[in-house]
Amino acid sequence: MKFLHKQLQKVAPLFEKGGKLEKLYPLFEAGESFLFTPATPTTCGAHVRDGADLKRVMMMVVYALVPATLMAFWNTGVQELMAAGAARADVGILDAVIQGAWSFLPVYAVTLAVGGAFETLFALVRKHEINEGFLVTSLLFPLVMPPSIPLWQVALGISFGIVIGKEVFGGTGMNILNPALTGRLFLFIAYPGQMSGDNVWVGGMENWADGYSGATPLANFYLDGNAATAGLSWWDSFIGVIPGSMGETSTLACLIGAFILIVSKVGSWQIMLATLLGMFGMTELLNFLSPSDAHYMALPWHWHLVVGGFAFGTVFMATDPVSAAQTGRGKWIYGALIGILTVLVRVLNPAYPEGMMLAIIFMNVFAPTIDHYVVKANIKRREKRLGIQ
Amino acid sequence: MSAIRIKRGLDIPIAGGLTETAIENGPTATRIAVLAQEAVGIKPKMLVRSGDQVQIGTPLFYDKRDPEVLFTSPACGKVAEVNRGERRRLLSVSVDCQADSSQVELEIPGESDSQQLWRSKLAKTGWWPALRQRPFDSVARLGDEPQALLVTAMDTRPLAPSPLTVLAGRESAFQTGIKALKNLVDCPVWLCHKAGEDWSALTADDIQVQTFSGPHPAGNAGVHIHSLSPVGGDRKAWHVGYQEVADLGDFLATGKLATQKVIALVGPAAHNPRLLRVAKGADLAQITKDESNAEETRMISGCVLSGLHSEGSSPQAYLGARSNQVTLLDSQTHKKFVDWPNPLAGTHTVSNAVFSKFFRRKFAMNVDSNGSPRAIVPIGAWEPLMPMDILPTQLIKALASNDLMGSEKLGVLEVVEEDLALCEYADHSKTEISTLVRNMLTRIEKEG
Repeated sequence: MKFLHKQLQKVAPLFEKGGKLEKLYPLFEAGESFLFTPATPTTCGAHVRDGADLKRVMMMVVYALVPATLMAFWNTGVQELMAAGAARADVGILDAVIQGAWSFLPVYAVTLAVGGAFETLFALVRKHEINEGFLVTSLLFPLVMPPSIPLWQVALGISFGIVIGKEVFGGTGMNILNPALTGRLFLFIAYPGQMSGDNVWVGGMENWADGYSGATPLANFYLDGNAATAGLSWWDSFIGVIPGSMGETSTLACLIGAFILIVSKVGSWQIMLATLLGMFGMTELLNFLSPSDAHYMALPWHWHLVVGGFAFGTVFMATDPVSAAQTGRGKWIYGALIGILTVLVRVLNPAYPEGMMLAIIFMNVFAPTIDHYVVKANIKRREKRLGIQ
Repeated sequence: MSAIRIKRGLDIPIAGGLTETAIENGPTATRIAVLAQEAVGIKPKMLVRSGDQVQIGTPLFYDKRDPEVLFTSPACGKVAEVNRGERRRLLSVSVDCQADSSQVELEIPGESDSQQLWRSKLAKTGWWPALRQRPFDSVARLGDEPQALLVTAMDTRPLAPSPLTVLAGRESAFQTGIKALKNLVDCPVWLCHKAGEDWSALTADDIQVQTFSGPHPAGNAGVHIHSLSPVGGDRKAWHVGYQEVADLGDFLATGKLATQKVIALVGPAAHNPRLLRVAKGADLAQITKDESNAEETRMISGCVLSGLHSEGSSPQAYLGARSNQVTLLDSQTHKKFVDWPNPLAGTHTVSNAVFSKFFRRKFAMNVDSNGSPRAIVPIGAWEPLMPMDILPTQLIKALASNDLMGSEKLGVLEVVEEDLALCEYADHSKTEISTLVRNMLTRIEKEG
């Protein structure tokens, strides 16, 4: 380690002000702080500082995503093998994981390479440090991709997400939309053939057995309403052995992730709970208004919870601290509206079977407005105390 | 009156606190200094030159805004250096001490004197700058009339001594002092102390008492003022430290200016934390000689959150007039190999991104900033640390984008560096919040 450190110190002057490679400093900084803690002494303000930096905070989100990622490997493989005609009981864990890895890893690799290149490019041009938020974005994005996605679309999607979703606003911390979701929304609208319908949620279509449909539970609910629950096990959906985007099928994995985010205080429990309550309230209302027991409106809340991207979106996407509401009260309103909108889009909208992504992006746009009113109330209250108003 | 309970805040679990309450005599000072940087907002004009002989109470410089407000020498001796920094800004005036206690002649204000006379007489003694004004935390102006005057008799800063222990033996001086404060202002005078402590022997009838409880910053003047008499608009409040009140009482009773004060010598690097009686403005290197167990030590006049920054033998490495403690930190930091995925890094965090706080009660913190500057990603770490009705995320973002109107509306006038120091401690993007808030306050003061 000492040797490595010495070598780094040797080349450091090249990257510092006046050095030959000064322009590449953000790259050097990223590499150096990856290998060694910066150990910069405080020079102003508080003399001692909290042990967490952005790297550690973002790592907690990555840790929280580990269960969902493992499920992405396993379930993607299970679905492909089952589509090819294997019985569920015959699918071995290892076989499934290897099969799933062939779907997931290329998508992840393309995301890292293309997204990382844009991230670095903007950091170099803007002369700011490479932000660790990309650690999370680059893992979130492949997890919300369908297994059959062409890799060139992955590259296009993450580019759009990073550039339009984040960098045009000034980079991490300034963006109003969640970059991973922006990329997905772009693909969803630009290439509906590869991002929706029945044939995209299970990979290896060329190997499918005759008569296999590949439809997600949401698509079935959309067609057959509440009656579709008959052919489906709630526990399978909860654990995540259903067709869907690679990382978002398992509510169980999302719950473990939520636990890690809440305990580490990195994710906002207020937003998660508010989203859940919003979804619950809206579903109960629709259940009450439902014309018949077989209608989609009669689908109970515990099904909405386990199918589609609701759990994943609630835990990992809605809680993105930058694009979510940032005031205490704002978080509750923002979360609740995401839950309500999701159910509305799912059940009452004739075009899209899934509403989570749209609801989150929509509320991302409205989050600053919600915050604006909460902040205004605070300003007013304080002015009243001072007798200015 | 019942105590005001502060719920949001944090007592940083830093090692090296006091274990005893006995006050020892510290080493005899051979050099002291008056720090001009501490008196925020003044425009100093020198009255002495290096080599001049001064007595206790000899004016060293005065404030051009309020020419009557003098900054006087707390010791007898010869002016050693007049230290100036960038753009000839006065940093400090140091004095080589002599074993002599002669004092210049000073007028003691009496009960029959008018408020104006009280003020101008105290301004001449050099005591006046102990009074600070919010907003801005600058030296109180002679002609101002505040809405409230608060005595901060509570200290929740990390490793701070208990005011009652520090004042042991000076109870009557404190009482005389706090009574006299009534002669300086028309507004109410508040004594703010910790809930559960008995201050009845130290206060007087016409002084209002308010107690506070809870974690730091429950003892900060900013929090007290926010609760009792919020500032902003045209409203101002003054505040003064507890040792300074006792100094005032002593002066009124005996005519002698205080030349010593009690400090707590604490910190993770202090091998024997204890209370010391030392000369005012003492050289930090002299007080802390042989006290540190670290190879390289940072000596802080004040606490680890908002103490003054100074280097080993810099012109500012002296005890500040308002500091009640000197904190020693190990100033060596160590690079660790690929430590960022390690959730057991051995550091304290406000979030639970590092788990070490579940296995340790106290942390021997050093000056490591534990990260490098990044964009602000608000994960809600600041809100539980801000006891005032102020939105920290929004305020800090307004400060970072240099938005004057926004910061003012969000309450920057109610805070100073020490009120946001906890947020700065907890910040994982390592933004220099203290610097931002001071720059904004300076800008507001200038532009009105």
